[in-house]
Amino acid sequence: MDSNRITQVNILKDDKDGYVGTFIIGLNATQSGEQ
Amino acid sequence: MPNRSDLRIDTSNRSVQEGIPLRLILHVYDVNDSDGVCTPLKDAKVDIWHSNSQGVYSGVQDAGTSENDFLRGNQMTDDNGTVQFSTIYPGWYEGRAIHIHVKVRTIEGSTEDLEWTSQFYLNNSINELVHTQAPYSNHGPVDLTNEEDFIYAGPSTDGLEQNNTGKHFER
Repeated sequence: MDSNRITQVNILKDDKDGYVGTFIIGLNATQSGEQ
Repeated sequence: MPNRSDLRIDTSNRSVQEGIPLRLILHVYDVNDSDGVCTPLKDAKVDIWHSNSQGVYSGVQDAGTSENDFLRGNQMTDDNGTVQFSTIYPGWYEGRAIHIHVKVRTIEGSTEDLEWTSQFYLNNSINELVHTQAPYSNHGPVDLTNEEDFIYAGPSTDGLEQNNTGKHFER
């Protein structure tokens, strides 16, 4: 089910003149293989 | 798709893609349908690929990069369901907002059990800021905002939970 997938981004300034992007992914991984 | 965490180096010629460093930290969870409990998903294969500062992908014949593999790679999630990549901030190309491709696969024995493919988007304000700096500025300002992209489904309204189709996660 689509409702079992989550994405999120928090993008922050790093302390080395770059960026850090943190993403969280939630999948219905073990209950079914449907897409 | 090379197995590596640093995506900046092209393994065909050892050249390094120039751009603003971007560290990607991805946390992958298995979500239980019935109770919403999230368990770290270990040993999942995570592929990442995106364009360079000028909006060019490796591995594309029309772009003359068919022999290259810059800004592509995969890692296996650890016991915490986490993978990290060192790359550069992506550039834009015509008709799309700036994005990073992601694919997660779980493999049981020799059989692929699950495959999920999506795209990550970055903040519009940071996209614009990045493109005021070299080498991104050589390519001009960003073509499209996230909201103008035909795939982007909109930001999360609660700051937390939204799937790649724009629907909220249902517990």
